[in-house]
Parts: sequence; structure tokens; C-alpha cells
Amino acid sequence: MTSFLSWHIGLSLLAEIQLALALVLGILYWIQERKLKQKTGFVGESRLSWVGDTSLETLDKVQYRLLVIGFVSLTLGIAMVMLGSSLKPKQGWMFLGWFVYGVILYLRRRTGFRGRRVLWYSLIGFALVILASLHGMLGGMSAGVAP
Amino acid sequence: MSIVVVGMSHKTAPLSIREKICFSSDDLNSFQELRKIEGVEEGLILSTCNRVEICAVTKDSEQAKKNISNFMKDYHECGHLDFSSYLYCHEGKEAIHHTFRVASSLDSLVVGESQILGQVKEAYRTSHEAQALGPRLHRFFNRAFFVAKRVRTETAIGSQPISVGSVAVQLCQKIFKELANKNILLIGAGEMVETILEHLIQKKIHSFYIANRSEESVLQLEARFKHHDILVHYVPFQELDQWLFKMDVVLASTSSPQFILTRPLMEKAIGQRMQQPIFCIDISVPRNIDPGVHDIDNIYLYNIDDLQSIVQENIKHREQEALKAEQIVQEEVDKLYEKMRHRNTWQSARA
Repeated sequence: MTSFLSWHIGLSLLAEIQLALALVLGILYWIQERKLKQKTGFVGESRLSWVGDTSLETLDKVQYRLLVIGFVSLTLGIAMVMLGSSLKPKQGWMFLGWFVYGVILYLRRRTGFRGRRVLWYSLIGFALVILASLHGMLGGMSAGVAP
Repeated sequence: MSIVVVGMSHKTAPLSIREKICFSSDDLNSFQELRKIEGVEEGLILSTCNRVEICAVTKDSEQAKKNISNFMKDYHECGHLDFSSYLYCHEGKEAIHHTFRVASSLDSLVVGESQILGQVKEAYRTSHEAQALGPRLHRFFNRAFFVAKRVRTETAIGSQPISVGSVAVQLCQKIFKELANKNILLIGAGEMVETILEHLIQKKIHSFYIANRSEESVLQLEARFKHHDILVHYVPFQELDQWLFKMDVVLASTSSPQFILTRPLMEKAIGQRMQQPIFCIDISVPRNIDPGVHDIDNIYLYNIDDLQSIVQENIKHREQEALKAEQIVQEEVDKLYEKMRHRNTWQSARA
């Protein structure tokens, strides 16, 4: 049972890192897209040239891959906890987060969902996943302290 | 021991004069002649389409300046002409300052362009081959290259494009990772198209689609860019809507008085291509693409005014950066001049 739990923690952590990176790329995409839509802000970006020089296409591709592998890690992580123990409230958050990411990927395949919208959805998804982890961590700690 | 620079540039002489005295780098003889000029100990010829100048190390700068300007005329057999009003002569600190500015592209027609440094390096190589250089000019020009590099890295003088064509391509690159595998559609092929196409072709794009009323336009376009070996596919005007969703970049420049690409048309296209971005450039006046298209997600529409205002912004930015560059150059001139003065006093004391 403990091994299931440690697998769960490891995979969830991995998923969180991947999804956090996807979120960062989403923000970069959003900044770049905003500049292109407003048609200003190109001057002076040379100071941070890699931000301005990275194309929307690259940002989008890498973000999508991170979302896919993050989603897979998350799914496996949840599977581990379901194999190992019964459902607790914190897994409710995790499930919701997982569902949001699932929706993103589904819409992406069906309609080419990207950019700003993906950013909003993944913000929500990420918040839910983090909430679940915090809940788990705090719950674990208090459980450890209590006799 | 002093450095002198004698020459003319786009600022002092018209092309009709400059072309008379330009030196070709294939003609090593002219470089070899340099050291034979009386008073010249080491020399270098810089000859580009915007300037012709000779840089030399001499003991007697007055004599050297006179002899160098005579050499320029005599070598090209135009001794009968009076060039004195076109020539500039710098010596000592001024000459160092001038050369550093030239190498850093502060004296160029388009300030900040990067070609000049390569041209100065080429001049340095050729003069070296012709054994016209000596230890002092070696040191001096290496210093100039160092200063030019410092200007490049410490200022953003050449970082932003300042022509409509290169701005358009830069925008493309902000959207697409690679342009070579993208589909590019030209709607009409007005005159302004050329400036942008040139830049696209430089980015290794060789295949274009053109939508026009007649198939002749394909041949015309191929003829206009015949030295570039491009491939043009024809899209009949009536079938435009069936092709639109395949296009990543759309460049419109017809003389049509109304919108050719309307909002519904583009909305349909972007849906068909699963929201993959489209970059539209409308350089026609009156406009051919409905400005409302820019409000559709994942479509970016720039018209000629947008491009030009980015160009203006970049020029302004470049001017500000040029001021910083001038400071760097001045700093380096002072440093080098001080060093040379020390060396000269030491040498004369030893003598």
C-alpha cells in the first residue's frame, strides 16, 4: 500500500512540474499573442530576446507536448491512489483538475483549441491539482503528528 | 607616428565621383602601391559602394595626406579632376574616431547595418595579403573590430529591422517557427509585393501560391524573380475560398476597390485549419482584407500603415541606441589615444 502511495506522490509531483512548465509556456504565448494583436511592444524586447524570438508555433507545440505527458503522469498518479486506497476528499480536487486537463486535450484535438483559452483552462486545472496536493500534504502531516 | 585617414563617403561625395576612384579587392596591385607612397609606412584601403578611404600610418601627416589624395587620383588616372572638395582628411585622434565609427556602422547610410564590419575586415585581409599592413595598423584595426563588436553586443543598434519587407518577415517569424515549409498565398502581385517577397525568398521560401484573374500572372511573377528560381502555383480567383484554409501567410496587393477577404471567409478558413494561425499582410490601398479579420482569434492582420509604423518605431529606437554607441566609441578612442601617446613618448625617449 505504501508503495502505491509513494508512486502516487512521485507521479503527481512529476505531473505538477510538467503542468507548471506548460503553464509558463502558456503565459509566454499569451504575452506574445497580445503583442501581435496590439501591434506594439516589439521594440526593446531585444533585452529578453529569447522571449520575443520564440515563435508562437514553437511555444504552442512544446506546451501541447507538456500538457500531454503531464496529463498521462497525472492519470497514472490517480490510478495508483485508486489501486492503493479508498477515495478521500483530496482526490476529489485531483479528479476535477484531471477532468479540466482532459477537456483541454479533447478540445485541442477536436477544434484546435489554443492560446489564451488554453491558458485560462490550465490555470484552473493547475490550481485544482495543487490544491489537492496541498490538501494531501497537510493531511499527511497532521496525520503524522497525531498519535 | 600618427594615423591619417583620407577618403570620401556618401556624405561628402556623389556616386558619380565615388565610382571614379573605387578600388577593387581583386586588384592587389593598388594595395601594394600603398607602401610606395612617400610618407606612408603602413596602409589600408577600404572601398565599398558608400565610401573609399585610405588609412595610413605616417611620420609626416601633412605630406602623407597630400600624397595619398594624389595617389587616389593618379591611380585611377583622373589627375586632371579636382577632388579636394569631396575629400575628408583626418589625423590622430580624429582619424581613430572616424575609423571606429565606420567599423561600428555609425557612419553608414543605414546606421547600424551589419555589412560594413565585414567589408572593413575584408579590406584588412586584402591589405594584409598585399603586405601593406604593419604592426601598428594590425593593432589598430583589431582594436576597431573589438570596438565594433562591443557596440553590437552592448547596444541594440542593429537588432530591429527598419524596412517594410524585413519587418513583415520578422513578424512571420514571431508566429511561425520555420517559414520554409509554410504555404504562402499572394493575392494579386502589385509593386509593393516585391519588397516583401525578396525577404521571404531570403528565408529559403521558394514555393508560392498566387490567386489572380488569369494564369498569366504566374509567368509574370516567375519572370520578375527569375534569378531566384521560385515555383509558383496558380489558384483561380473563383476557387479562393477552397484554398484559403491551406495558407499560413496571405499577402494581398490587388487594385480591387473592395474587400476580397471578408470576415466570414476567414472565420471559415481558420475553423477548417483547426485554429492554426494565419498571418495576413494587406499592402493594398484601398485595403483588400476586412480589418475586422484581425479580431478573429489566431489570425493576425497587418496593413501597410502597421508595418510602416513599426519601421518608424524601430528607426527611433535605433537612433537612441546610436547615441549609446557614440559614447562607447568615444570612450575607446580616448583609451587608445592615451595608449598611443604613451608609446610615442617612450619611443622618442628611447631614440
